[in-house]
Amino acid sequence: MIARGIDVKLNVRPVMVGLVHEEYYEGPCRFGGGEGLQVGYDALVLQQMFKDFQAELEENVIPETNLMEPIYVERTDSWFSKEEMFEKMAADMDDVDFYIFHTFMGRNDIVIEFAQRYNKPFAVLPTICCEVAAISAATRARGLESYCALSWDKLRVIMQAQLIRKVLRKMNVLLVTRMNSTVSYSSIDSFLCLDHVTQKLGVKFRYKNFHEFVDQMSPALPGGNPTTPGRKTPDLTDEDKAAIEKLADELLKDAKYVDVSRDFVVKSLTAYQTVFKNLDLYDCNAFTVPCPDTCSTRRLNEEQFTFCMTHSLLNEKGIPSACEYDINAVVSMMILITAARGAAYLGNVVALNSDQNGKVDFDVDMFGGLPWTTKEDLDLIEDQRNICISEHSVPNRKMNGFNNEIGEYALNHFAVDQGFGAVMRYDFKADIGTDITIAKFSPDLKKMFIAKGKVVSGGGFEECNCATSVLFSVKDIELFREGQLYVGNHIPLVYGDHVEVLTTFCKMMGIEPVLA
Amino acid sequence: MDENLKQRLLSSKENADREIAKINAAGEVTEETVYRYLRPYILYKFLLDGEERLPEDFTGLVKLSIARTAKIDPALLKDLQRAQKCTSASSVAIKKVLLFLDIQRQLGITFDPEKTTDIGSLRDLARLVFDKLQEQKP
Repeated sequence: MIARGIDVKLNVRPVMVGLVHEEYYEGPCRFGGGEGLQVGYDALVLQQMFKDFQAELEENVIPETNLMEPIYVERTDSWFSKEEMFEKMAADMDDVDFYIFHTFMGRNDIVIEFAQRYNKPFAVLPTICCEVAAISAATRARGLESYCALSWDKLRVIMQAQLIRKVLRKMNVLLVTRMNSTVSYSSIDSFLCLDHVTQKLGVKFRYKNFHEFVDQMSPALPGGNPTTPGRKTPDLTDEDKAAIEKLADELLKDAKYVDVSRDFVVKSLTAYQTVFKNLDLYDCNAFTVPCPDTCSTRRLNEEQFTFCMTHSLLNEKGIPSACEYDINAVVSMMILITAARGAAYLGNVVALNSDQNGKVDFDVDMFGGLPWTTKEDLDLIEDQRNICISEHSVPNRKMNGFNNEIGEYALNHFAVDQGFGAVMRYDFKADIGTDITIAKFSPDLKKMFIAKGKVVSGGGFEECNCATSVLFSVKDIELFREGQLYVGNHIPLVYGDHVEVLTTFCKMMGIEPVLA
Repeated sequence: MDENLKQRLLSSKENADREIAKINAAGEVTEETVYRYLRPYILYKFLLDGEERLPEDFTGLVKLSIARTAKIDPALLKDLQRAQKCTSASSVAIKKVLLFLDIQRQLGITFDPEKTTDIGSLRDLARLVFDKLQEQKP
């Protein structure tokens, strides 16, 4: 089953700890007067506060929250810490990702003890005044994982970071590999050690042999496939073919510009359908496959497909899919789409030099003119200082949100001579002015480069081959360049400003954020 | 001006006490009886008697009362009872609870605290009071 990361919810348990005075008395711990000091007042007001607590949570938690049944416990000014109180608070603990406590003076010790007993991450309500700082100090000194935000805006950021952590723990990546299962010939900047990634982030990896995969892109053979003789394998079925034809019709019908034959569209979609089936079989929710490693087998040439369309379509579905076996990128993409709630785009990212007049030399700084980004695309940008380009062949139509309507797109071909390898095209010029967040881990998982920018142009809408570009401005190109040197060539991006969430996530995980 | 206001506050309290006493004095108490006297009692308590266009819901009335009394010098409101501050309880919560405590004392009943959080309208409150009166009948 494909359990998408974007469908994961953060299970939040609200817990309120009340304090009931058993007698009437005054003194330095009693505030106010009159009826408020009388026996019976606490019981009534605490129930009102419990209801208000629930209403406050419903209004303020992130949309991806599953708010569990709130729990109310109380102690009296006899200061017992009854076991039944802790047992009640710990109900269904295995299902809880995050606790939010409503507490106050005279009961914070219960919260601290709960944290010490069970070691689950928690926050206190931002609106409980002095207690936020008190609990923060008490828990930090004890090395407990607590979050004491002073506003709901900040607590929401923390909750999003908690969600990202949970999503990564549920991330299973399908790796279709030919040779080296850690890096490919074109992504040497990917993770150094996948086991370390599993240890630190909880991401799991499932491997499939590339040749077996290609064998399964056609109907079953009597006696089994050449790579797995005598075995039953998940080969192409009639249902698969019907799904492929239907999808081909849909894609071709609404494309603004088409420069690829239907036959080649079907062949590329056959790869997509086979990947999708295997994601389901392997219970994976992310994918990557190498380019040069697999291309050099000549099987893609023989079967007349590339994986570009697969990556585009999977990314649209909220299933991160990265080119060139860039496992680092695909994990980074999962983080970005969880924050953005929109699809990511992955490309080769180059920070462009500009001259003293703030102009990029198209012939020199754009490498003699990239065939997919024209001088006209560049000249749209008035201030060309601090400009980067990201170009690849895997745009998608859901960067503005997974639930948004599909805008204009084109279909083209990757193979210049033979015309195969159906690819999607998107015109990033339609999104000029949109904020972006671009981020990726370093190969040793010690750092995460995080930058924000704005879309300033795009190119390649009607081009073939590896040819979609987005140009974006950043605050400081030198800072960007320095940061990029830690993380490598491909850096995924999403729309929106998610720097704070990603930075908070890094701090939570003990990863150094490198900001630009 | 303060003297007039002081007088008004005093007369509101007296009127409120008089209305709720009618519940105790009524022979055969029905839910309708309770509502008939509870409503003016609450409006007097909340200093909303004479107000036009009152909200229907209980919380709305509480909020309106808070807004009205916020304009009054706190020194004059001493007799209206103030409760604990600095417990993170909202003004709305405190005001509701003070009302419940007064009703309890005036009618000799004790509410179940959990049931006091679901009061949507004055009729809901009247029903709760009526149920308690029936429960605590000898």
